[in-house]
Amino acid sequence: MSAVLNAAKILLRRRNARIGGVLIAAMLIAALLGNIYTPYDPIINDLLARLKPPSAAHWLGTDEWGRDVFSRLLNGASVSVLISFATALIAVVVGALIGALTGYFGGWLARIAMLLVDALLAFPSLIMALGVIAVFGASSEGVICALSLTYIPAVARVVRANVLSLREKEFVEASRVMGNSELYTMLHHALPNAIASIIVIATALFGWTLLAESALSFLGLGVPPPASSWGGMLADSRNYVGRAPWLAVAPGLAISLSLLGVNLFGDALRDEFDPHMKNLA
Amino acid sequence: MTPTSATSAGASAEPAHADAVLTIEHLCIGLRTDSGKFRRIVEDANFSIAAGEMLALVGESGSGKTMIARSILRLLPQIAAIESGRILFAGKDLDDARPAQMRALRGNAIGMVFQEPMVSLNPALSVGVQMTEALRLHRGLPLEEARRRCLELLERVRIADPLACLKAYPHQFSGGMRQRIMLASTLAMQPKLLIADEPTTALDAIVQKEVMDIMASLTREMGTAVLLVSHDLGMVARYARRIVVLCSGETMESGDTQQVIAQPQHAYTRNLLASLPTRMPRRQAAAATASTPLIEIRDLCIDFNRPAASGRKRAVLRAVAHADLDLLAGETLAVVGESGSGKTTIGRALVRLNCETSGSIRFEGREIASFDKAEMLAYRLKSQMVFQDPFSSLDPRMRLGAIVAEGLRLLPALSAQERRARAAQMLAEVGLSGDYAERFPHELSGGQRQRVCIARAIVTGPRFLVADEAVSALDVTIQKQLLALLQSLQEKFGFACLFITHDLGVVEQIADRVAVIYRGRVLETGPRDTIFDDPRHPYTLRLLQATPRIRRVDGENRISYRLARHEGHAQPPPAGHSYFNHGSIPGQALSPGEPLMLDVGQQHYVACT
Repeated sequence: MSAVLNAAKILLRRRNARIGGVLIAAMLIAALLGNIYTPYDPIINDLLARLKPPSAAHWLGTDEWGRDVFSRLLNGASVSVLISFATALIAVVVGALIGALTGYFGGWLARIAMLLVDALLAFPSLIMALGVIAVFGASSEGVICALSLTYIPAVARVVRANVLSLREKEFVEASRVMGNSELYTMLHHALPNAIASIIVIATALFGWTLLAESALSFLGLGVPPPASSWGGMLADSRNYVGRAPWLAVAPGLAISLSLLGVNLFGDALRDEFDPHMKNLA
Repeated sequence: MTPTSATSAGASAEPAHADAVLTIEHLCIGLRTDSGKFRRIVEDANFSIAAGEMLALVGESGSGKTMIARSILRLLPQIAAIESGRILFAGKDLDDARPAQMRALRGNAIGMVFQEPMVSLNPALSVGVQMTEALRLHRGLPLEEARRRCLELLERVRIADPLACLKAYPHQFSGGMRQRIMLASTLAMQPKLLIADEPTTALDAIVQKEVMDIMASLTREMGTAVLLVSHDLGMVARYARRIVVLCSGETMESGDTQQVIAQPQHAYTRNLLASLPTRMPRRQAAAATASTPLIEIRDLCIDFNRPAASGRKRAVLRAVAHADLDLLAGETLAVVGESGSGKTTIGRALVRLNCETSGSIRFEGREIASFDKAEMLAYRLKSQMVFQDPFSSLDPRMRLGAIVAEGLRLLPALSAQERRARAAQMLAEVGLSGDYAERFPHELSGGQRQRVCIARAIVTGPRFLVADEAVSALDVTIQKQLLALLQSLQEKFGFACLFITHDLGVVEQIADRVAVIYRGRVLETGPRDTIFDDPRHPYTLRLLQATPRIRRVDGENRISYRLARHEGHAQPPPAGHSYFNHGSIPGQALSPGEPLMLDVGQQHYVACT
C-alpha cells in the first residue's frame, strides 16, 4: 500500500499528472454523485420548462423534454465513464496479450490469429458494432462488447509490431542465454518495453470510445433512452443547436475535459515509465 | 589549450598557401543547449589541404571530427552552428556563399563519401540514374555523355562489368562494391575536394584495403584534395600524408603523418598510440593443461532458410559448413572472419540461440543436443554471452543491479538479498562500484555498459563465455581497458572465452589460439603466434596483410605491415595437396569436394584438398 502511495507521490510531481488527475477525479466524482444525488430527476419530463437557458434554477439549462441538463450530465457520467474505461481496458488487455504472444512466439498459430485480427480490422468498425449489438441488445454491456471487439485488432497490431522488434534486441537474447524461460522473457523484457505505446493507445481508445458511444446512440444503438449518456446527449442536441446551444456545449465540454484529463495523465504515466526520465533529478 | 603543432609546424597550421584547396582557420563550432547558450564542440581548428593531398582528421567518438567535415558543406545538424572562424575553399570564403552557391559547390566541386554504404545510395533508383544525376544537374551534360563518363569511372574503380552495373540497383551489390560506386559517382564530377567520412569503417579488412587503395590512387591522379575522417590510426597512417589529431574538439597535434606517429609530441597522441592492441606474451595458465577440450565442435553445419523470392523454391543458406573446433578450458580462442563468414552463428549455436542442422557440439564430453530440461538449464548457467552492441544488450527499464542479479534468479537457494549482494560485488569486480547498482543503462557510456554485460555474463560462474565483437563498437582507449579487464577476470575466474571478431589487432593481443573462417568454412586453426607469423592458407595471409599496424621499435613508433616479407605469396601447401579454395583464393579454380584439415605441426591445421 505504501508503495502505491509512494508511486502516486512521485507521479504527482509532474504537472501533467496533477492537471490530468484533477480532471479525472472530477469525472469520477461526477459519476459517483450522479448515482446518489442529482438536483432534479434526470428522467422525468417537465414540458413547461422546455429548452430553458442556463439559470440559477437550472445551472446548465434544460433539454427539449424539460429535463435538467446538469442532472442528466451527472447521471450520464457513470454510464459514459464506465463504458469508456471498460472498453479501453478490455481492448488493451486482450489486444496487448494477442499482440505480444503472436509477436514474440510467431509460428502458424500466430499467423492464423493475425489473419483473424486483420479480418476484423477490415470491417468498418461501426458495421461490426451494429452486428454485435444486434446479438447482445442495446445496453451498456452490449456497447462495451461491441466497441472493445472493434478496438482489439488495432491494439494487437501496434503491440505486435513493437514486440517483433524488441524480440530481436540483444537484451532479450541475453535473457534467453541466461536460461530464463520464453514466457518469462516475454513478460519481463519484451512486453514492459512496449508500455509506452500501450499507454498512448489506451488513452486514445478512451477518447474514441466516448465518441463512438455517441455515434451508436445517434443510431439508436447506444444506451437506450430515457437513460442518459454524454454521447447520447450530444447526439440529441443536434436538432436544437441553433436555439439551445447549451445542450451541445455541456456534454461536449464534459467529453473534452475528460479526454484531456485522461491524455495528460497518460502522458505523465508514459514519462514515468520511461527510464530515460529517471534519476535525472 | 592551444594547439600543439610541434611537428613540422611550417606545413600544417599555417594560413592558406597559394595552392591550398581548402583552408580552415580558427574554426569554432558550438552546440545550442537548452538554455540557449553554445557549448563548444570544436575549438579553434586550423588546417589546409593542397591539391592531390590527403589529410586525415583522427579522433575518438565525440572528438568533433565529423562536425568539422560537415561544417565545410554546411551539413551540420540543426542544433550545431559555426561560431567563428573561416572556411576558405579555393581561396573563397564559404561564409559569404549564399545557399544557391553552396548547392552549386556540393557534389560538384566538393564531393562527399559517407560511412554507411548500405544507406547512402537510394535503393529505389538504378545506379545509372543516380550516377548521372549530378553530372546532368551541375554540368548540364547530355545523358549519353554523362553515361560515358560514369562507365569510365566505374572501370577505374575496378567494377567488373560497368555496363551491367549502371542498370543494376544498389541492393544487388555488396558493401564494398557500393562504396566503390559511391566513390565513382563522386569522382565523376572531378571535384577539387573529396570529403570521406569513415568511408571504410563498415567494410571488412580486405575490402577496406581495396577501396582505400582505389581512392588514394584515383585522387592522386586527378589532383583531388582529400579530407579523410577516421578513428583508425593504422589506416590513416598508411594513406594520409598529413594528420590532425583531435580530442573533445581540440586539436592535440598536427603535422606530417610519419612524424606524428613516430614521435608523438602530445600526451594524448601517445596514449592513443599506446592503446592500439599489440601482441602480448601468451599466458601460461590455460595452455595444454586440459586433457579433453571443454567444448568439441565436430562437423557442425548450420543452415538458414532464406525467404523465397516470388515463385521460387525456398533457398537454403549454409552459414556454417562442416566446422571442427575445440575450446579448451580457460583459454581464449579467437574466431576471425569477415562479416557473413558464419563466425557469429557458431558462437550463437554454443549458447543455443541457434540450433545446428547437423554435426555435434559436446560440452565436457556430452552432446548438448541431448540435454533434458534440467541439464539444459545447468548448461545455460555455465555458458554465457557478451553481445556486440552495448546500447541494445541491456534492458533499458532495469537498474544495473537488477540486470546483473537476474542471472542468479535461476540458482536455487539464494535469497533476494544474497542475489543483490552478489550482483553488487560483481559490478565492483568490473570496476563499477558505488551507486552503479541503482543506475539505469542509459546513464552509462558504451564502455561502462559493456562492463555491465560482462558482469551479467560471469555472475553465474560460467565455464565459458562467447564474446561476439564485444569491443568492436568502442574507442581504442576504452577497448584497451576492456580487454585488460576481460583478461584479468579470466585469470581470476578461469572461464574460457570464444572471442569472435574481425579485428586482427585485438586477436593478436588476447588470443591463445586463432581460427580463421571464411564463408562458413574453417580454413586454418592454430596457436596465435603460429598463425600470425607463419600463416599457411593464402586467405589468412591476405587477411593479415590487409591491415597495417603500428609497432614500437627502439623507442619509436613504426608503421609496419604484417608479413611484408611474404609479398603476397603463401607457403606451398603440404606435398600432394593444394589449399582448399571455395572463393577464398581469388583467381584460382574452386576446389571440388570437402577439405581436409591437415596438421602442419604444433597444433596448426590448415584446410587442404
